[in-house]
Amino acid sequence: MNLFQVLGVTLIGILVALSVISVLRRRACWRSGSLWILIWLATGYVLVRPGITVVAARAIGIGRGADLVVYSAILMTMVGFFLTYLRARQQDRIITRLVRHIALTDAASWNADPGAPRENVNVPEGDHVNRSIESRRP
Amino acid sequence: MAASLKVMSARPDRVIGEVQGQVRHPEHAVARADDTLTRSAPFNVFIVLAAYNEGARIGQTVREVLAHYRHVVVVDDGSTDLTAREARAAGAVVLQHIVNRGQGAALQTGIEFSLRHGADCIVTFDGDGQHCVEDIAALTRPIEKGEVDVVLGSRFLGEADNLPWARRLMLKAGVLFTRAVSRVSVTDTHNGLRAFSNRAARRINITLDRMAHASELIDQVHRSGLAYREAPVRIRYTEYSLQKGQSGSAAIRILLDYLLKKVLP
Repeated sequence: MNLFQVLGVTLIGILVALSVISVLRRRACWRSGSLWILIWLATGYVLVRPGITVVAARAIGIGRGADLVVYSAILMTMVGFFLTYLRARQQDRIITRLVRHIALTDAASWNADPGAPRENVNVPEGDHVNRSIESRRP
Repeated sequence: MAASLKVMSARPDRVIGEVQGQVRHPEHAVARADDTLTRSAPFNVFIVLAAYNEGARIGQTVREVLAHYRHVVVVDDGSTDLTAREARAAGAVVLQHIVNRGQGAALQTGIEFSLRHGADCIVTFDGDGQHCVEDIAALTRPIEKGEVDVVLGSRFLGEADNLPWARRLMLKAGVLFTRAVSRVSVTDTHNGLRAFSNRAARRINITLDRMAHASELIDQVHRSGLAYREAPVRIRYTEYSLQKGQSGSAAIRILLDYLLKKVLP
């Protein structure tokens, strides 16, 4: 094996070990952990036997193994971006729901006690900088 | 308190009747005009204003609205100026988003608050002084009479003072786009002055937080089968309000947000 393969296999070994530890310590469920272990092992095999990419590429009509690797990497990156975007949208909606809940709850508590001092939660006296959420509550 | 209640036609510059009576606020009026309108229970109209850094203007806007309507709800959308304080001092009920979430999110918060407090009709109104309080009656009256559930204000049926041609072009493009994608035929798709009945407000759920909520609202109104119509309103374009308007790049972003919402979960 050349230097790149040695370093690559070492890195793959570390990633497999981390995935196994995550599953054993229950930080990840066994399904997702197993999936990632398979992915790392397949990546390691391609590193050690790069000729397999040529066989796979010809099987699906792509000329060179390197082209297959590049196309696959681009595709997986785009899928990763898309899934990340969907998750960001979902988190955006969750944040809005939380912010709305706080606003409505605060309004209800102020209505219950109209005499309570009402502070502008975002702007301290003489200061036009947003305060952190932690410093907002008394 | 004796007062005069002017009954306005759909065009706000035409008074079609005048009634002398004991009124505290217009929504409690027992009035007779060309068409008889009697109400034994008060028709609670809530005016919802979403405001972001409108400290310079919100107090005046709130006072203008409070002169005609009792329930004014200002949703301060994470402002970094004294918007909430000014609105509260002017007499509005103020809800505060602790971080900025966008006009769509702020309006939905105001709508939910209004529904919890017995609103029969909810009117969304801009906090930057673009809208005229006198136009609200033309939106609420058809809802009070039970004719429709939603009334959408349209500057192209009314008056748009000092509307820059570029802004007019962009708004017209928005109308064409909405007709093509949603198959909803309205003349003004991005007018913040709208009125919803209690039933309509319960069916609506704005999920697009930023400016694309306007297109989403029209889509939801159309799909829900709610009866709706447009009414002419006036828009006052001032240097202040034009600064706050949408740029061309923001318009493209609104378009993308709306299209993505239609195809993505």
